[in-house]
Amino acid sequence: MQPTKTCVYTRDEIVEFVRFKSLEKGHDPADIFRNFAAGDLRHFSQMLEAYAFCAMLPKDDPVFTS
Amino acid sequence: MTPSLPHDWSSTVASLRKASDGRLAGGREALAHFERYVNLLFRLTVAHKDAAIRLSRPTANSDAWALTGGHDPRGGSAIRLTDGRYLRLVAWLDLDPRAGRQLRVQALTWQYQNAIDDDSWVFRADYSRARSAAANAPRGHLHIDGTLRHPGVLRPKQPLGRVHFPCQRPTLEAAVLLLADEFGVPTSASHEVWRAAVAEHEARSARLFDL
Repeated sequence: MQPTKTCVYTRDEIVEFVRFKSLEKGHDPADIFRNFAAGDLRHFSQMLEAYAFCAMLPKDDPVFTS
Repeated sequence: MTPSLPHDWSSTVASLRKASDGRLAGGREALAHFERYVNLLFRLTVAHKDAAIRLSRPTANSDAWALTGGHDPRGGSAIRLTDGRYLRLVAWLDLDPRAGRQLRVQALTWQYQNAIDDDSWVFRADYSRARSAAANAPRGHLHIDGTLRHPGVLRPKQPLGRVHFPCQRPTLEAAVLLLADEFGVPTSASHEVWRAAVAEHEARSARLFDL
């Protein structure tokens, strides 16, 4: 087992990461942000990392309403 | 030629105990202790020597973190196992502001896979603290990819893999036990060493789901 790597993200990097993970799995990033804000964690297992990143953003971040 | 001595796991077991205590102490340090605990648990048990995990956190002051398999954020989230297969792992963690900033698991998924890609999955455990109004599934549940011997048991067009078998708290220790005991995944430490560690810490890990 290798040592754990710690990755630190800015707000913009978090948004970009969620977009990347959404598109990678064939989902519209806007849907993923919207679903998270609504508490609807659909495609749960597949998208959980993206949802965890959404949780790193403030609840009133504009990405959840745009 | 001198035979190699058996590996001494005592320092790993001691570090595991320290990390286990630390993750329950609360505060931001608990997250680092949790990462350390997971790394040592897998090191002691079913992880391949090249296996990796990563901890992701924001620069801003946020109490939400993610622990996932693999080192490459743009890669998958699978941990390579000693049997050549993979365990995909994603944990969403946070600190509970109502409970002295205790560490808790918000959501978790771990999935045993035949290959590094998701499509080759064998079984998967999911846990979500939050339940959406539309979701009927138990908060913690297990999926198994397979077929039943008896036709007509499931509803039409419902594959076995979509059935939610309740399992209250899918701890990582439960994953290790399942992999090692039922699927024969080799462990790095001896049976006595790793089972004692799992037995010591599993109930404490379950608390992270209950908080």
